Amino acid sequence: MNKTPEQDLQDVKRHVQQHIIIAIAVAVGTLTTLWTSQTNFGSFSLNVAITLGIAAVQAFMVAGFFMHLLSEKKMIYCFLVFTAVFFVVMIGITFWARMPDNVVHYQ
Amino acid sequence: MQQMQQTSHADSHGHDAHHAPGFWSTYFFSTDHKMVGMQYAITALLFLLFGFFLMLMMRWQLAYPGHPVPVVGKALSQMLGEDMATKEGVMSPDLYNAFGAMHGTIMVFLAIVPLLTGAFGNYVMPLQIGAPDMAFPRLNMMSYQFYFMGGVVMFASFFVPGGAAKSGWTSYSPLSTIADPIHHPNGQTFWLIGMIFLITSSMLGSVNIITTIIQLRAKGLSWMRLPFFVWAQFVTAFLLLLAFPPLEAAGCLQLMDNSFGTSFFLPTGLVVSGRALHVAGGGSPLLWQHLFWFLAHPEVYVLILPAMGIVAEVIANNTRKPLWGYRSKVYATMVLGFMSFVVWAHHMYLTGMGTRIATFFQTTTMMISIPSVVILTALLISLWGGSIRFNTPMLFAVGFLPMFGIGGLTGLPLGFNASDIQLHDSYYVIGHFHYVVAPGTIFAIFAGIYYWYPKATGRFMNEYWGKVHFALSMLFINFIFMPMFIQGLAGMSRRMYDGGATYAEAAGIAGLSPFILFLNKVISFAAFSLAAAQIPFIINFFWSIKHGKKVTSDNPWDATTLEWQTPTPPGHGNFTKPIEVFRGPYEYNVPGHTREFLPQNDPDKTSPPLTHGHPVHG
Amino acid sequence: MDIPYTVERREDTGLYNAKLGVWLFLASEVMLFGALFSSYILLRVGADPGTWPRHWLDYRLGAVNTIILIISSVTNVIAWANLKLGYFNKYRAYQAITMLCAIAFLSIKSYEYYGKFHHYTITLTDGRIADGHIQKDETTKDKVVIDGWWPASEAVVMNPPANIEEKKIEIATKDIVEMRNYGPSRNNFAGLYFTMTGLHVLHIIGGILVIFAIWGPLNGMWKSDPERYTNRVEVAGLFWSFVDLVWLFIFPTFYLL
Repeated sequence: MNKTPEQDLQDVKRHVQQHIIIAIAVAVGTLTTLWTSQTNFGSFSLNVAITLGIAAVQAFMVAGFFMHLLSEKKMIYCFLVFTAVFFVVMIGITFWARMPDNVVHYQ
Repeated sequence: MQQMQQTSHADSHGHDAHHAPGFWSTYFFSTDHKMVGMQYAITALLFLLFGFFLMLMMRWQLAYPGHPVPVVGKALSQMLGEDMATKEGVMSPDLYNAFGAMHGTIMVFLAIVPLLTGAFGNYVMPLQIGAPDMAFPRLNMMSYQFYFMGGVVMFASFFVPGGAAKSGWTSYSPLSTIADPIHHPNGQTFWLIGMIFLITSSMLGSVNIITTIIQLRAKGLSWMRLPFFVWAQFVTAFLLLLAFPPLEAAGCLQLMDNSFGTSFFLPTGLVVSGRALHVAGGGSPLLWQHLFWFLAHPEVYVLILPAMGIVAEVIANNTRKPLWGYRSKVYATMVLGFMSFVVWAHHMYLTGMGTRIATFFQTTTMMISIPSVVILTALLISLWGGSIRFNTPMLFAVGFLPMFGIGGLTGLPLGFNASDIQLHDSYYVIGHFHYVVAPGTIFAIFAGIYYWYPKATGRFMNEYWGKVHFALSMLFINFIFMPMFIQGLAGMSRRMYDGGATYAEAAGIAGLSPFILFLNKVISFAAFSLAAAQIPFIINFFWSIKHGKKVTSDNPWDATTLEWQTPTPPGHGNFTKPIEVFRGPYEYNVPGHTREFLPQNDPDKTSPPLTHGHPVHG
Repeated sequence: MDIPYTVERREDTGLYNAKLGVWLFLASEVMLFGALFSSYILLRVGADPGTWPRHWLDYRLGAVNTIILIISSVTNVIAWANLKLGYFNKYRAYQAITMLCAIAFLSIKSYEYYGKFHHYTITLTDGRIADGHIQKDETTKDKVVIDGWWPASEAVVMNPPANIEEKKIEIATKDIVEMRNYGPSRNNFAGLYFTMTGLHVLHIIGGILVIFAIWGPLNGMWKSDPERYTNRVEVAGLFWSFVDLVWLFIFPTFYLL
């Protein structure tokens, strides 16, 4: 479909606006993590989970919009999402499988 | 595609008219995948020979501990210094360990993987998918150059003060950091730097292979029409791409431990030679093991998958019937690739990890044997009902099957936590993995060399000497590795400089009987004989370039896959006419077809293509 | 000889070769940094209580760096969008901002690294601990002058309070048992901090060199093959956004938690 130069320019402007909004959202995310890291949510693990969770959301926005992953074919970003989930599961398994503290280690 | 081929035709004339590439451009800075493949092949075969030579010296030491190494002993002393080998030529324990570590490193990273992916992958795969070259030719050239530099660094490490790395190819911390505290940089540093070059080379190569297979398949070449060799290369490339980076990270961390005083892998309170090590501590030797084996387990599937791919091609061609269970093999390969990432800690059963984690890895390890068996069984069943031509490539391909079977089956007691307690770090392990790699992968490589040699050179290798090579290799290689199972079950540890002689006098189960120690001599004799058996191959390889029997057609094996549809040897751009694929990869003797075999790009309408999922037999 | 799909997209994947190539490469980079993050997690969780430092890094500098990288990422994408529509000069302008942001990031990072290498913890013979930045011009063979404070114990060094009053401290060399700076060999936190941010810095430098090369010496391709040139900019931009992405995880992990 052929667009007129004016339509093209409008497209660019919209695109640029969208990117700036995403950038601001990511920056807000960073400022939020400054706050969440200082606040006590109960356990330290919860703190870590929330802070890194916000980081993950920021990553999703950068990957989805700046790297236009969301505009690629589904198969492509499904593969990457799968990798990310896989990685989290691997870390989870590692933690689940740690030795309990009450086991004696013989030297 | 039509347009592309016309352009290439015009281009090649124009190209030649403008500048004939000089010697260096043709042989050292080529971006043509076939030349890069040959570069990899020659370099990797030289490293294979060198790694073999290291092993021969080690085998001498094991059979005759403390005796001067014949022929090369004095040279070792002169080249490497008297702390490595005495003036008479007796190998020192440090030198034995260095040879051991470098034998493993060189064989895995400088010989086998470059042969399978760099040589066969680069040369054959683009031809089999109907592509004019790899997706990124310059990246291809660079990946060879990084490999070459890594090889130079590894080779140079023998000559640095202190000698080459001597903490095993597994390079466990803290030993690899404290093994040579006097020299900085030392052989271990060179090993780490060499690995970084090699890993970079592998990763550039795998990006290239994956992109090429996804993007450059010829028209009509759908995924399920790909030759199994291409599928094997595809999954292997993913393994390399995703598994190598953790080792690169670990290598950087160990490099920092060795050279910059960090202690990522050094625990608190480590005492070396009676003195506390002056580092911050707090590190975890287990972390190195996790990171190392996260790569090294997928690495072993990198070593076997392309080999299975080669065997599949040779078997299909020489049984004159389609491969049995093509779909099962493809799915099994994908499952194998995925599962290879979740079994790594079966190398770490004896580290004292808890029962939960051990059970997890034991379960996944047992599960991963299933896809391997599926592939092997499918290859075996493919022989049933075939009109088998027993030429040299076929002999090696068929020989691969029982050898890989033995290797795989002997892995089962190692995969079980309980039996591994006895067998871990014993000669049983050495027997197991060598069966898969030596009579396994290397036989597949020989099959591939004899099979594709006519395409690359226009001549056959000599059949008679090929058969001699096969028979002798098969005989001697079994005499090398079968006794190792016996030794391992008797309790003989690996990496012992004197072949276990220290334990000869020990009482009870700690002792090694004279028979077990005698087996060292049997194995070593078989190893020297195996070396002799390679001489006809080496001579054959070079002699046949000029004097081998000439091929009478571009498709001397009457094969169906696309690499045989090129001129011999293929020129720049590979194919002289546009390629469109109409059928699957193995249409040999299909009932109802007019001809005995149909190449993939043959549109013969009287012989419709085999439909997927409805194989003719079983 | 033309390699197909170097510029035009293949129908079933919707990609041209270099784009697929760079995504595959980025997948491997995820594994690389992922392995380092996993190492951090394993070492931190396995560390004895009280031996893992907190609040050793200035989060304000880190936050500023994070914002700088976000800005550079967005100007990079806007630069590409402009190029896609043929506005070469706007592309050049926005890309210049991207590169300036990178230089700003590297400057702040160098300042941080410099600070760490000149920050010492000094153990004295009488058991006291002094901690502060070394004043090179006043330090001689006989005395070390630092701008710092007297932490009560090693545990306090590991977890320093937020507002420390720093004053000049002079220590005679003969009273010093050992001096440890906050470089990579200090402990595993420092080691991982330098390794991961160091690796990240290498990626920033590599990325900016590629962006610069395409922006500067190699921009002749805009005249001869504009679509291919735009693709190059896009692929470099994907790498650049990834570098930003990694920092979005490095910042909370090292500076905040």
